[in-house]
This record gives sequence, C-alpha cells and structure tokens, in this order.
Amino acid sequence: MAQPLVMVALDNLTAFESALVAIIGGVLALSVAGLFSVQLKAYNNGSKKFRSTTGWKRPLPTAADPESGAPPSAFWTKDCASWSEEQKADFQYGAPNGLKISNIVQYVCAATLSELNRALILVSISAGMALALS
Amino acid sequence: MNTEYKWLCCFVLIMFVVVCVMLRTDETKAAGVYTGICFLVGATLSGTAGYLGMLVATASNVRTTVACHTSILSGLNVAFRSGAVMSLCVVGFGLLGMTIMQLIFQGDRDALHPPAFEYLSGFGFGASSIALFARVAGGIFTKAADVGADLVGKVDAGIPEDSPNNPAAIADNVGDNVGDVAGMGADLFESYVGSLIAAGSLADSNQQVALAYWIAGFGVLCSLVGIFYVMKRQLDDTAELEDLLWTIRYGIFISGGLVICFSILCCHLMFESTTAWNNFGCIVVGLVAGIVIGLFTEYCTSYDYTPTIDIDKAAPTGGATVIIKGLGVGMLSVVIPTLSVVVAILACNEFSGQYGIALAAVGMLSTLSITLATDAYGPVADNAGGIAEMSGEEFPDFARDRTDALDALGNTTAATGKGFAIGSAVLTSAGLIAAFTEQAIGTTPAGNLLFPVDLTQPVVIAGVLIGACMPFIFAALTMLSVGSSAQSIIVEVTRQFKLYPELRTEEIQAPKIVDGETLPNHGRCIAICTSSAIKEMLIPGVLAVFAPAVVGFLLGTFGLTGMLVGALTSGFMLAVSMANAGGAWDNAKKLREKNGKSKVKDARAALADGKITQEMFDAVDAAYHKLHEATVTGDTVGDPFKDTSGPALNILIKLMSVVSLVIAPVMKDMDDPTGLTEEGTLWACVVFLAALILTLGAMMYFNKVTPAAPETVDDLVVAYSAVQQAVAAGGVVAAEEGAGAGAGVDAADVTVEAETKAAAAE
Repeated sequence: MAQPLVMVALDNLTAFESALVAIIGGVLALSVAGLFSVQLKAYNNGSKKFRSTTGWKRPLPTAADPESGAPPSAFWTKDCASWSEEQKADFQYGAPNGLKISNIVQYVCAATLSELNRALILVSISAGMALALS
Repeated sequence: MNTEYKWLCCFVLIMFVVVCVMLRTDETKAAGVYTGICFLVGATLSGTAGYLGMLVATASNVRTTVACHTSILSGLNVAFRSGAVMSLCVVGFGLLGMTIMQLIFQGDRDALHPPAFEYLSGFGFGASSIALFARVAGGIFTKAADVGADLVGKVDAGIPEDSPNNPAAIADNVGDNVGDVAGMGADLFESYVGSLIAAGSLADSNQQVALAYWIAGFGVLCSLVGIFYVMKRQLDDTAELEDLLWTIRYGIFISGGLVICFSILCCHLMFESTTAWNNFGCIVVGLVAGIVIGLFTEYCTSYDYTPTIDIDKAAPTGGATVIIKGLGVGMLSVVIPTLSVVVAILACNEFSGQYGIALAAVGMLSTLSITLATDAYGPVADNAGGIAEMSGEEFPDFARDRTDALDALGNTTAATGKGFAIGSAVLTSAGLIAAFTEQAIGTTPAGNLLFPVDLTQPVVIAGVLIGACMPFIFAALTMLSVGSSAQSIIVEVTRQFKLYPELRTEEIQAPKIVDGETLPNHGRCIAICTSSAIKEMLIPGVLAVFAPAVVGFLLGTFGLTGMLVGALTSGFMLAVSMANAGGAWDNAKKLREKNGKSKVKDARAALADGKITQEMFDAVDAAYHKLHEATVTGDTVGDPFKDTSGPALNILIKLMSVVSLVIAPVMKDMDDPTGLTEEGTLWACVVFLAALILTLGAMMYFNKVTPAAPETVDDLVVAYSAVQQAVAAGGVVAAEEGAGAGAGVDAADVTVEAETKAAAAE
C-alpha cells in the first residue's frame, strides 16, 4: 500500500526534489574531502616530527667557522641562528629533506598547471576565430 | 595561485563569448549565454577539482613516507585518504555543479524541462576542454621525464630510479602528479557529468532524470562506506601485496553491492514494476560491465597471469620479441571489453532504449568516489617512494621497501582504473551521441528519429572514415611529442652527467657548481618538460575541439554522426590496446626485476660464502642485466602507450561527442540534415584540402624548428670516424679498440679516447 502512495508523491517531483539526493551527495562528498584534507594536513605535524625523541637525532646545522675555516653545514641558513627549541626539535627528529622535496614537487606542480592554463588561452583565441569564420 | 586563476579566468571568459555567439539564434537569444555560463562553471569546477586533488596529493607524499616508517597499513591509509580527497572533490563538484546549474536554468518552467540539459551540455564541454589539456599535457610531461630519467639514469648509469643525482628525478615526480592525479581527475569528472547529461537529455519523464541523480547521490554514500572499510580494515605488517589488493577490491565490491540495493529501492519507488526492473537492469549491467572490464584489464596486465608472464618469457630473445608479444597482448585484450560494452549496449537498449545506455554509464560511475580513489592513490605512493630514496639517511631501508610495496599495488590498481575509465567513456559517449542525434535531427512523437541515419549514404561513410582516422592522428601526435621531449631530457641529463661525472654513482652527491651552473640542475629538466608539454598539446587540442564543428558544418548532421561513430569505434579499440599493452610491458619488467634481483642476491650470497667463483657470479649478473634490458625496452615503448596516448583517447571521443551536443541546436537549423548541397560539396573539398596542406605544413614546420628535437650523437658514426682517424694515423690496435668502444653510449669520450690512442701510436 505504501509503495503506490510513494509513487504518486514521486510522480509530481519538482526539479529541486529530483536533484535533492544529488545535492546531499555532493555536499557529503565535499565535506568528507575537507575532513580528510584537514586530517592529512595535521598528520604528524606536517611530517616535521616523526621519530621517537629517544632515538637517533640529526645534528643541528652549524654556521661557517672562520677560525678553523670549516664551511657551513648542509642545512645552515641565517634563520637557524634564531630557531626556537621546537624548531630545533623538528629538525633533529623530523624529515626536513623529505618535506623540502615534497614542497618543491608541490610548487612545481602548481607552476606547471599555471603554465598549461596560459596555453589554453591560445587555443581559445583560435577557437573564437574559427567559429566566427564558420 | 593568483597566476593560476588569472589565466583560467581569461580562458573561460573567451570561450564563454565564443559559445554565446555561436549558439545565439533568433528564437532563443539567451541559449548561447546560458550554455556559455554552464561552460564557464564546468571548466572552473573541473580545473578546481584537479588542482585541489593535486595539492593534497603533493602534500601527502611525504606523510605517506613517514607513515610507512610506522607500518605499511599506515602508509596505505594516508595514501588512500589522499586519493579519496581527489575522488570526492571530483564527485562533489560534479554533482553540485550539475544540479545547481540545472536548478538555475529551470526557472518557472515545468520540472526538468529538456532545454536545461541543452544548456548543461556546455557544462560538459567546459569539463572536457580542461580534461583534454590536463591529460594530454600531463601525459607528455610525465612520460618525457620518466623515459628520460630511466634511460640515462637507471639503464645507462645504473643509479636508482629516484636518486637525487639524476637531474630528471624531480620532473618525474612532478609528472606523476600533473598527469596521473590532475589529468585522471579531470578525465573522470568529464565522464561523470557526461553520463548525467546524456541521461538527462534522453529522459522522457521527471522520474527518469531523478533516477540518474538519485543513483549518483546514493553512490556517494555507498562509496564512502567502501572507503572507510579500506581505511579501517586491520592488517598486520606482514600483509602481502595480495592482501592489500583484496582490501581495496572488497571496498569496491561493498560499494557496488550497496549501490545495487539502493537502485532496487529507487527504481521501485519511482516506476511501476516492469519499468522499475528494466531500469534496475540497466544500472546493474553498467556496474557489472565496469567490474568485468576492470578485472579483465588486471588479468592482461598483472604479472600473476599468463599474458604478462609470456611477455617476460620473450626477454631471452631480445627487446624486439618483447615488443611484438606486448603488441599482440594489447590487441587481443580488446575482445572482452568490447564484448562487455556490446552486451551492455544491447541489453540496456532492450530494457529502456537509448536512455538505458546512458543509465548504464551512470550506474558504472556511481562508485566513482572509491574507484578513482584507488587510482589516484598510486602517484602518491610512487612519490612517497621517490622521497624516501631522495631523502638519504632520513628514512630507513624498510620504509623504502614498504613504499615500494604500496607503489606496486598502485600500479595494479592504476591499470584497472584505466580500463574502467575507457569503458565508462565509451558508454558515456554512446549516450551523448544518441542525445546529439535526437537534438540535431529531431524525433517523432513515438520517439524515433525524423530522418534515420543511413550507413549506405556516402556522406555518412565519409564521416565514419574521418572519425576512425581521428584517434590515430591524435595518438600519433601525442606519441611523437613524448618521443621528442624525452630526447631533450636524455640530452640534458647526459650533459649534466658529463659535467659532473660523480652523479653517475649510487652515492648521493652534494650539489656542485660547474661553469657557473649548480649541478644537478633539476630546474632545467622541469623547464624542458613544461615547455614541451605546452607546445605539444596545442595541435591535438585544437584538432579535437574543432573537428566536430568543421565536419558538422561541411557534411551535415549525418556526416557528423558518422564521424562520432567512427571515432568511438576506433578510439575505443586503440585506447584499450594501448593501455593494456603498456601495462603488460611495465609489469613484465617488474616481474623480471622481482625474479632476477632475488637470483643475483642469492648468487652474491653464495659468492660471499665462497661457494661459487667470481666468474660464475658475473655470468648470473650479466644474464640478468641482458634480460632486464629487453624488458626495459618494452616498458619504455609502453610508457607513452599507457600514460599518454591511451588515456587521452578517452577524452578525445567524449570531447567530440559533447562538442557535437553543444552545436546540436545550430545543426538542427541547417537546411539539409542529410548532408551536402552541391555548393557544400565544393566547399567541403576546399576545406579538407586546405586542412591537408596546413597539416603537412605544420608537421614540416615543427620538425624543423622545434627546440624539443635535440642534437643527438650517433655513436656508430662517432666510433667509426675514430676508427678512420686511428687507421689514418697508423694505429691498428687503437683503431680496433675505438671500434669496440662504439657500442657504448658516451660518444664524446670515445672520440677523446681514440684520439689519445692515435696520438700515442704516432
């Protein structure tokens, strides 16, 4: 008995009612995507720190020593001199190389996509000319 | 980000104006504007989904490496979650974009009035155009870097694949994200919205439109259940690859099963018994066809099964036989996907007519959230392995082993995903072609076409032939692009290796300044790949966008229909065979590495124990390298097959169908839908002749001036000239040695060596 009544109701679907399930699905998908993104961003403090603090630790970067003539160590920058204790711990127990490479890859990917979009303009101009001619 | 949005806005605004002008007719002056707005939104959402997915994927790669430090399951969890972000963005933006646009243009008219879907074809066009360029350019970028890095770094220098010493290593990692994440996302975004547009355009009632939306909406919920299952399943750290694979498979099966349950409910709530079962049948047929195509693709490309094992067995007779076997496997692999799609089309047409075909595509793509997640996670795992390799001491060897295992799993799921993408593209295109013919030709009250398309008409046959030719031109252009770009990378990497020879060692070297340039210079390889990708994508892109319009206006609706059918037919076969052949070559190489490395390791252990002599170990090592080289040749040929040309053909056939749907209202207004007038024939000949001349001119021009075609050195010529010089100098021994060195790669060194020896002989 219930089925025919529901069918009658659904026979008069408005556009909004028809699209409602899809809208809910879309909102749900984007919400979960957002949630996952936040979780991923927070994961292991952005990979700055993942080792046990009782295990091996990376030596802190050192500046050049004019007296002995020793060059600066690989990760030395001027900022290193003013690092907080937390920044020092991130470096000693984290993955600075990995994070650096990841950031480079991300930067280059964004730049590449930007270049691609620039090229799309050429195509669109060609499209305009061709369609205008046709 | 600012630059990104600036250029994106320019592109969509220009195309918006083009679409508005083209579709502006006396009767419906607003049609062009509405379609143009839909184009604008579709292009923006497609680009945004791909961009967000890429951002998350590139941020997750190092986190996956870190997670693998804990356990392989943690790594899978992080990488899969990242893939899920991409897939959920695609589905979320697709659903919301479609529904909101439809509600906006619905106005006060009856619910789901057909014109709303005429405008929404612009949404599909926008998505398609972004997808095409992202896929083609991304494919060229990634394979140029991959082939270049592999050939010089891995094969020639013998350094690990992702060693930071290799100047193309970063470009390789970038390419994975641009091509396989952003490109694949945009590709499936297009399929997803295309299937909904086709179903909406072919629907006869409100319920039919609603059914497509409801299945897609419930599909998100079902997929989320599958995604959470994959992420929450408990596995211990000794889990084999097969266990991980089955975890993902279970997730997909659970999602598919739930979609079937919801489909029964939706169909029986909306339709009477017979119609309900018919529509339900279409959804199930679509889902099953997708799964069958995916599983068969796995059979053809996984190294656990006969086709790939047979390719590996051809290695002892050299690279040529490996290639021949791979081509055979690829060609034969079209049978089951073709039969699956044939059965799906016939069955769905029997159940619910042409709407049923579109509904099958909706059913197949209803679980896109999880199927795309399994595909998009692969590049993240791949990058995670690269980061572990490049980070040196930061990550222990066991973390690298775990990322390798995740990468192997990603390769298998990626091959399955490609099969799924092709199958869904064909069903979507079939639906779009049906919608185009209905709109461009018109229908009788009984639902039949006013003028049935007759295959025996010359204009239709001409269209079919042109259409069948298109995928080959498109594939050829993309393959040639990869070839020339890879050559540039090889030359650049070789140059840097010569300037800084220590880079050719396994030990990670610190950057060094040589002639004012810091080496290894990763930036140069990235710049070469970027410029090549952009330059090389233009011609294929223009070809795909304009061909339907040009053929349509010259050969009429019938000619264009023939062209779409021809392109669909040959494009489907070519895409399947290229993707499967490439996947099989790739895994044949992996099988050889898996078996060969263990034998070399055993032999090394025996040598260390004093059980065998050095000569015996060298024989094992040399034999492995010879066989490995043969399979690497196959893999190198297959790289552009499976990651550039094959996947791009999906978009070609969808894009041509959706462009035709966009121009359908204009086609309908043409005087003669059956084709050419006498004057039109003349114009058609002139235009096609001009196209032929222009194409030839363009090919000659690009072959002449392209910076991507490098100055390569023929080792044989160099070595032989060294021989001649040495003979002329009277040094016979030096001449013989010079000729022997010609088999090497470092031609410049050969010249120097021969000259030195000739001088010494003097």
